[in-house]
Amino acid sequence: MLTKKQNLYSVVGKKVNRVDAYEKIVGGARYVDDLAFEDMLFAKMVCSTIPSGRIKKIDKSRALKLKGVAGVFTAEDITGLNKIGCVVDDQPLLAKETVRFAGEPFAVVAAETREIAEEAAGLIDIEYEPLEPVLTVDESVSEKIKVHPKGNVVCHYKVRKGDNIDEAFNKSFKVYEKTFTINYQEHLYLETQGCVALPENEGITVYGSFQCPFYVQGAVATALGLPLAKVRILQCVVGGGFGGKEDVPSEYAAKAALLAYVLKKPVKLILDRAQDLMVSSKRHPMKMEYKVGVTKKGKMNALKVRVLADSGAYTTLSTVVLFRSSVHFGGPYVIPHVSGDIIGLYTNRVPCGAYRGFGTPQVIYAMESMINIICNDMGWDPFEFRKNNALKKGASSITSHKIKESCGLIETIDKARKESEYDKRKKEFDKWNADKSKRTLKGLGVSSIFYGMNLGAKGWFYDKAGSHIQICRDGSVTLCVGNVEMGQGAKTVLAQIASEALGCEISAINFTNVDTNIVPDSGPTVASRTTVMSGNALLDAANKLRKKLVAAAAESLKIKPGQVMAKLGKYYNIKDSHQFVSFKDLAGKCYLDNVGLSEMGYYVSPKVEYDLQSGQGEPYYVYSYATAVTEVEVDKKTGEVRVNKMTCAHDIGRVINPMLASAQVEGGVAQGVGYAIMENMVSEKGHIKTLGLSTYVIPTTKDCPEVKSVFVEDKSKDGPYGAKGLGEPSLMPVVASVVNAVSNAAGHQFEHVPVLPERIWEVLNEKNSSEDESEVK
Amino acid sequence: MLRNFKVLMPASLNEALYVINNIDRPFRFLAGGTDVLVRLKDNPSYAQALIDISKIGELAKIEEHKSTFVIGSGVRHEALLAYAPFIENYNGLIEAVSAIGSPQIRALATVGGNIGNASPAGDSIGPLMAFDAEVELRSQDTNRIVKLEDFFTGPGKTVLKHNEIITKIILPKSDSLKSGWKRLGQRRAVAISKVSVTLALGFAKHSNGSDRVNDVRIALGAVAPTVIRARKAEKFLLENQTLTKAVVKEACRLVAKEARPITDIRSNTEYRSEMCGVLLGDLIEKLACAR
Repeated sequence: MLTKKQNLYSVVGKKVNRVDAYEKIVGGARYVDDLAFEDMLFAKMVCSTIPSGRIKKIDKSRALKLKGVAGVFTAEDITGLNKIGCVVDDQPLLAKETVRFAGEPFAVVAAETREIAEEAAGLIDIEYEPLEPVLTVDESVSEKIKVHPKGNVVCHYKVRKGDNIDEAFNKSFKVYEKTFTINYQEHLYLETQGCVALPENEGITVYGSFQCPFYVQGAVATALGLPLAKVRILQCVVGGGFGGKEDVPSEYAAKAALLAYVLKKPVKLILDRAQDLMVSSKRHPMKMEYKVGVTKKGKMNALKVRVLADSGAYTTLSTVVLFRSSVHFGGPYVIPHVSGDIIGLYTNRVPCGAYRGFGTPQVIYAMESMINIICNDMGWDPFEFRKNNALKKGASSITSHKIKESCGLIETIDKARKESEYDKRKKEFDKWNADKSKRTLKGLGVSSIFYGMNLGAKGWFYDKAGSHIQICRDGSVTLCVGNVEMGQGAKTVLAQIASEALGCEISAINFTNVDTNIVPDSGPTVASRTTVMSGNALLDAANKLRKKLVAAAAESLKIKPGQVMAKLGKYYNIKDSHQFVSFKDLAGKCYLDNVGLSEMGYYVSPKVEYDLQSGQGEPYYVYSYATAVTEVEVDKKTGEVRVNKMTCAHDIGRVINPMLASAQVEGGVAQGVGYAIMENMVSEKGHIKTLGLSTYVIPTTKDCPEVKSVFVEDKSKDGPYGAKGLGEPSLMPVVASVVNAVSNAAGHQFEHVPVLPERIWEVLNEKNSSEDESEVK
Repeated sequence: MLRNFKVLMPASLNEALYVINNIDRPFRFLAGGTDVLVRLKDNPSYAQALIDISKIGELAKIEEHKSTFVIGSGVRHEALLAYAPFIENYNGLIEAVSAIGSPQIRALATVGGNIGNASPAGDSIGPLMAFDAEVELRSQDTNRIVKLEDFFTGPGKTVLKHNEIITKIILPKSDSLKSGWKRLGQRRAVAISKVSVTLALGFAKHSNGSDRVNDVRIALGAVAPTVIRARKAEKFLLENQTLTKAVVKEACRLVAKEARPITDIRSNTEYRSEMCGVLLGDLIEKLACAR
């Protein structure tokens, strides 16, 4: 239960302003496109214009004749290996014999100006032998045409729990079945993908906008045939990632690095918006078949799920994204009999990969829609039903993970109900909807989620993090971690953790952007893991330093080390806080005493045991939980939706910074609302048609609801100060709760996302005409 | 990415007319640049020269004459929105222009540009067409007035000749008309209309004292190759004079049939047609009640 213990900390848990706000507001923050070097060349990728085909001939000669062109590189110019796959080796850095999606790069040009590079890109002639493309998961699963010689299945995760599933359904009181589909979602970070590569010290240095500088380091080393130590990655300020800059930037960095390394000049490669939309990864579209059995007493007793996910032309991160789908498809519930098949399939479409929530918002939408259907059909209360089936300490998830600690799901359900004033609103809305003269219908939707922290069983090898802290002799502090600030507020939260542990003022801390020469491989900045992983790595380093500072303070104050306390720039006598030595003076003393105040920290995520054959075990060490309640209003005549309010209750363990946590929730809501009712990526015959901001439409502030965020702090023993992650959970319940609200308003469970006005109007129209008919009868 | 192209900056209308009469390469006018620059970035062959008319003061005025308002083609949306007589009597125009792009776009974009761009979804066109606006087209040697309704020949296509420039929009005074504009877009702001309707109504008293309609103008946006007037629905309402529930319903049905929309990435044929009727119904209700 939530306890309102007094916060004993002086920085952690406080509303600290963003440490990077000032430089961003005054325009001082340097993004990669702000960098310029002498003799810098500009690169442009040349991409396939067909979804599937054999390359017969690539002719560079016209492009090479253009004045100002420094080089045109194709597969044969790669000095290392022509491979880019992060997990599975199925993707070339530059297409050589085959193109597998419209937008696949087969050449890259470097020229003296951006304009010349673009012109040259148009002068590279390619001849294809077009092949019949595979454009849907149903076509792909039939294996009539193979996207790759080995077949179309990228991965197939099975979860088998309990008895034979058909027998389990026979024992159900009622069984519900429905198939759902969901479209792509594009990350649409404000800053498009980009990097600058510089030949340096017989190796290469790459600046860029990355979520995982260490993936980039590996990819560049592979493409150039260099040892990792010759490849240095320097992180720039990032203008948003949302998963889109996890593995994908490696593709561009390796190309820019290759040009820079061979041409011996700095090379900048920045994607324009249209190319970014065409070639970069998306959230997986899915077809999801759900079957749920319930008992008379309102318990779910059986769940059968088959998901076909469109992985696109290459694996990229599909195997890990869909692993997450396989853990989360049943939601945060206890269901004794489960059979799940999550199948990733190749198609001749853009590769799909990481996106905030990582394969879970889709299956949560389907699962929470099923619960909405069940509650509406049986007349069960949506909160009580969820509570009745909820995970709690001692209960087991669909993967038979027995929850041991930090599970505030039920509290989030109770808080969401109370804080949204659900019961009052429900009555008002029922009355409103009964009045036929009203132009709109109002609806409430609920959704609950859980989310496994860190990389879990499928990615444990990557699940480590390093840090470096140095205290200068004047008491100022430099920090470097291996996870990146990409807008989420990591620098601020991590500075709070370091400040609390070191006992220094937060203003003493100076953050260095990730430099692969300073910190060890810390894995990607994904999976809502930065606060926990880099936070713990910082604690490891800070505790070593604190020990030294405490010893020095004890010596100065002539007391025992056990009597020394530290906070906010003072090390003081626990019995008499007026007796203190300042952090600054301590740093100076240590310097003169030759006590080194520079430490590395390291942290490894708790080990988990999981059996991939049965899909049973501990997929993740702990989970975050959330429940969201959405209020919508639907125009009866146009089908337009107004999302009026969302109340989100999150259990994220200790809240390190309440202000940033609320901001994170608001961002997740905005992105989720867009996904639910607006963002519609249109493809035709394997070509994406929505290649601009006027056609791929995301919400403006006018489209976003009022957001009320509340927190449950069921602390996690492994998190820094008990923290868990929030980056992805903030988005995850949004789609399902918005769609449930719209569905409850319209009286029809919507089976496809995004739910566009055109579809809502069609449904309401059909209802109207059938009501009219029955009136006539 | 912007390539090499010429920018010519005539200081007066006469200079501009001279330049376009003598220029030897494909050009575009640069007024607000909110459409032209976007196109040029996407497609370098869109123009080899830009003729910057944004500094020509004589194109940037709104004048009141005896029976008309004359809007210079270089008047920016922001300026139009601040013009008191329009705020008072041309509500449909104000509503439409307020919805164009964002404040930043409205600060730059011009009325002439929105017309010259000839998008079927151009939001200012519907109300101007409903008010029977005309455009003045000038070349070095000619000067002609064309009804806005006859100006467009297709998406992005107009009767403007290569040596002509839109100089004025002539808006008849119509104090007796009540007007309104509504649209549906993919979001609530900074959106391109997927359907828009303008309605202007004039009312008079019946001999028996009740209200009757004596003037009807309906324009539809984004549902045909150009913005169009819905003449059949107009005629029907005018003939029936009284806005009974049944009459309104029939007008909405007629207007939905007059629309000829396509299915594209923003919406589909059936929805767009039906929404013409829905929006017309909303506007009739609003204007009839507002009196």
